[in-house]
Amino acid sequence: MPEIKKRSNSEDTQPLKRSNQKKPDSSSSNQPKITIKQTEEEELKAKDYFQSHIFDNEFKNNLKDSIIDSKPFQWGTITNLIDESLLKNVRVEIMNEIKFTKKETDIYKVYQTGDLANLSGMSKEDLKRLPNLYKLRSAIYSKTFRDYISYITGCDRLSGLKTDMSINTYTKSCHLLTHDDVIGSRRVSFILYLPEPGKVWKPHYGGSLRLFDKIVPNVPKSDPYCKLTPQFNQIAFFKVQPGLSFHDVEEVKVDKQRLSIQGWFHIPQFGEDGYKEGEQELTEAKSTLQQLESKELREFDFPKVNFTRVLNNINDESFLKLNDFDISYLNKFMNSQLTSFKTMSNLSEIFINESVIDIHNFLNLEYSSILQRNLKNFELNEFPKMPTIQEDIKYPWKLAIPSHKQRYMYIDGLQKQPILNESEIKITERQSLETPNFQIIQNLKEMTMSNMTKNENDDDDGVDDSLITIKLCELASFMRSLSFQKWLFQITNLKVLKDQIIIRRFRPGFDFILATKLNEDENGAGDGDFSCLDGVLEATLNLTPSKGWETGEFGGYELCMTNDDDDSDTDSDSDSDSNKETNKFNEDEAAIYKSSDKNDSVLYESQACWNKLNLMFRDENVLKFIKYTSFNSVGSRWDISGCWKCKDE
Amino acid sequence: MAPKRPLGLGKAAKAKKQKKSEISLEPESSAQESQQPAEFTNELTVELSEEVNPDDPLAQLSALWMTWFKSEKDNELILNGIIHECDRINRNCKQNGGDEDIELTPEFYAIFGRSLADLANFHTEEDEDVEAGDEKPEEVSNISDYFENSLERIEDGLAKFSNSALLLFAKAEIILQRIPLEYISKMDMNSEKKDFPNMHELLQESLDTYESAVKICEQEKNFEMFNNESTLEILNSLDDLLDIIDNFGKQNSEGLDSDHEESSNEDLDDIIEEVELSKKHPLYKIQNSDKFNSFWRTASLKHLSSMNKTEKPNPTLKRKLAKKIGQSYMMEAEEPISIFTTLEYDSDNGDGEDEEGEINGLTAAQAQKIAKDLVSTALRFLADSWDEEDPQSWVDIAEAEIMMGNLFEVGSNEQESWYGKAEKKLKKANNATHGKYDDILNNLLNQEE
Repeated sequence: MPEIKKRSNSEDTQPLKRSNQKKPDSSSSNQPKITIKQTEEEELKAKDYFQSHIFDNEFKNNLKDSIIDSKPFQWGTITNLIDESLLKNVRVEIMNEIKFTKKETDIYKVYQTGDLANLSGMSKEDLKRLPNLYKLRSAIYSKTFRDYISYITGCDRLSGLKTDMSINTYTKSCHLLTHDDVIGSRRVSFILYLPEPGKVWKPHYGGSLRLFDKIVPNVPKSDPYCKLTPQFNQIAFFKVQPGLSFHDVEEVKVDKQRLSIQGWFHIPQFGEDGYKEGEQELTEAKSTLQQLESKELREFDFPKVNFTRVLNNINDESFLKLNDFDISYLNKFMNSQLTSFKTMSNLSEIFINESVIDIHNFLNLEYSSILQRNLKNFELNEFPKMPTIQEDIKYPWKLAIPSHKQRYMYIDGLQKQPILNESEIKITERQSLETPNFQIIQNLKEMTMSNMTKNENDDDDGVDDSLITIKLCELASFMRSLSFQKWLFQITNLKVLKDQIIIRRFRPGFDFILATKLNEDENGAGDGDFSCLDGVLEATLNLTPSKGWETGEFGGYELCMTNDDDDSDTDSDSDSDSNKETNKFNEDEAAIYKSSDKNDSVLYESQACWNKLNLMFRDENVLKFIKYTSFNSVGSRWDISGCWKCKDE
Repeated sequence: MAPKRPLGLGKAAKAKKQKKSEISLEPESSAQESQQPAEFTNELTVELSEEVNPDDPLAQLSALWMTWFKSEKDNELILNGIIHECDRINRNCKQNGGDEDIELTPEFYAIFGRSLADLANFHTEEDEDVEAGDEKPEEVSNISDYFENSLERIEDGLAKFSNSALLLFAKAEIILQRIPLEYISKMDMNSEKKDFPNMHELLQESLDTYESAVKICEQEKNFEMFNNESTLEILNSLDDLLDIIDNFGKQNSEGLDSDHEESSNEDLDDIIEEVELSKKHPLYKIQNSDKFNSFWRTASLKHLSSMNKTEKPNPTLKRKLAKKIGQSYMMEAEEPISIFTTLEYDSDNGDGEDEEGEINGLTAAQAQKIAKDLVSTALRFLADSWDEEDPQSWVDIAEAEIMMGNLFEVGSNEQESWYGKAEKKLKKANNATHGKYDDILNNLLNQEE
């Protein structure tokens, strides 16, 4: 089980920052910190730490022009930036002196430095063991280089006092999902790459920096606009632009180390050149506002929260009893033990006490073996090949967006909903949403399948998605059936009023859902329907046919955590002054990931697997996510997710 | 009384420490091919096979051992549990003066010995923690003690069951584990023979023991012994050990493995620094002898043929073994392939007329013939390693087919035919893995053009 950390409320997504409650434990951290302010001597030396060609006027101006013309937002890159031998020495120091620890959250998996989380806090002890790293920091935050960056990016002055950089390394399967870096007073983001010197980092190793265009501000497109394959001694940088500067780190696909030093230039601080009174507060306020807007903006979220009222007479409990027809229908799909009175009563007792239950071997053997064989066969021989860009996803499959929240393929039983760009989305938004009908999709697929004649694909083993789509739709229909709703009542004692069922596929190397709690529309009575109970009944029918997911290394797992931020805020009011100081120090620092060393915030976790139904009654403060599915996983994570609003009584 | 309605996951967790509630149903059919629920919890689940009496402590021990053996082998607690149970059974059985009616079996001693040897893996650093001159706490066992104890248990067993193939296999395996863990881990380039036990003799002892176990199985026609993973693991351990010794002292650059698939041999030579061991080095003799590699090949072939004599050879084991044997022929083919390509294509004349040229006593034609034979044998075994659900197994075959293609005249029908076969497999594998083999496939397509 990977170590799971909880992200703070902050929507920021940068991994490498000091956690606000972590007691510095290394000897170095208790040492007095070295002042950040450059001495004149250091300032003079700084220029020598860079390669001279970058100061050439023509080079500088060409770079400036290329940044002005750059897309999807203003960014640039310089190869051979730092004096070669200095940077090689920095790398040797890092490899020999710094220990990395694997950190994993819903948004990243990365190896971070433990005792030197932020290089702004280097002590005298650190200086002794990391002299070259210290030189590099001086160089990067020197006036010379700050002015250089200001000039080529066209942004205002940059702070030399507020330094903010850290080291991290991405090895096989590490990644950082889409985010815009906007937080606090950041003005320019940069990443200096240090993969193995003397070797070319090839595109198929992964680990590239990918930039995303926007659908509208705050909503990134799903496919990257461009990508930069990092080389040793190359820097990439961009202006931090609220709602625009969306980027990610592509998963590293091979067994190599993509080491980098990354950080930010902030707006000038009090007493510095270029300091403007109130600018810090304004920038921070803007960042916060942008985060809020981005979080609240749901117009561009697909699939839509779309509950459909179910047709049953829930007021009559005798109606909710399973009759022989129900049982015979359910047994077509389910393990027949599940419809026996004894099992149902056992399950019910557990569920009512625990609010969660995992049922292995949920589908009956005959049904599940055929489905598993079909899914495996499809995955191994998929034709056309697995869609890797939005346009390749063909109805009835759709793409979940936007990519800073989620990415996966799904079938929701509804009509086509074109969502490639803003105008399509605006039109789609205005369509009436019919009642989901998986049965019709199933029937349509059956028709097209029987009409299909083999063509140029004849001598291939290619398998298209028809058969598995039919099968999955059949199961989704089953989960919407009256008989299944009655069975749910037997287990949960909850009478369902509205449902939303979605068939999902999480493709290797692409898909995930970041942690969210239930929003107003999702939460039982949140949409104003007070006949509904607060919270929702949720089910995940795990249908991943491939093996190898047990350790969580491939991701694709489902995880629930508590969201007790309100409590912790209250607690912090009574904190000691020193803690307040710590909180203050960190409040504008990026990703403050609460460390839960005991992992006690994890309420539920489930690796991708075959034929397991998870049922849970989820209250509004429970965060849930599906971890990014690794490129190296054997296949996709498949599941059918169900969500029901239940009667409040 | 239970509340009528669930509280909700978050609230329930606050109310008490959350337990994960799982219920595992039997698959309905009696067919046992269906998979067990793939759970991953911290709790240990021990699966007892149906015919085993759960009240039988030896059966339970055996189940516990299998749980360990099939696990990631990273949970020391399981191992400690096994050893404690072995100790308890050993003390309490009637033959040792206890009052439990348990008959100690060869399997008992094998589990006892092998679990102690496995425990050594968790204590490799204890010796290093004790600085020179420091007094070592008495109760702290060092790695040597674990292995000594482990072998002692096996000898106890052999004293009672001298003809037990199981115990002899266990002994062979323990020695193979001991060599790298206890000795090689303490060596560097300057190590000398005089400071270590004789590695060559130790390895030979293990292999002699292995051979005598094989002989017993053959005499008893007990071929089922070759149908289990534990016996095959001995050959895997030998293979790993020979690999460690072969590469001893060589510095790999970062991430060699991942690049291996697209690197040519010349690239690899650049990456791996060549080093030579001194004659005084404890590993010199093994590194410079080919007899252990030959032993591995012969033993593996024999294992495969014994496995085929069983009623139902384990398909997974068979695939694994066939793959390893196939790969070993491919490795053997590397040298003649390289001689052939050098003489045929890289000669100074560049006109292919350097027919008199020889490398290591082989002409191009001779090297080509040897290479073709070896690759063809490799392909025979690799064909048996084809796994419908494992695209890598298709790629392994495709790579051998490309190699075979390379041994024919450029542009010839034979070459095209081998490339064609490989391309089909690579395309299939690339599709199944959403592009993992793009690079190899592109190389092949460029080659074909």
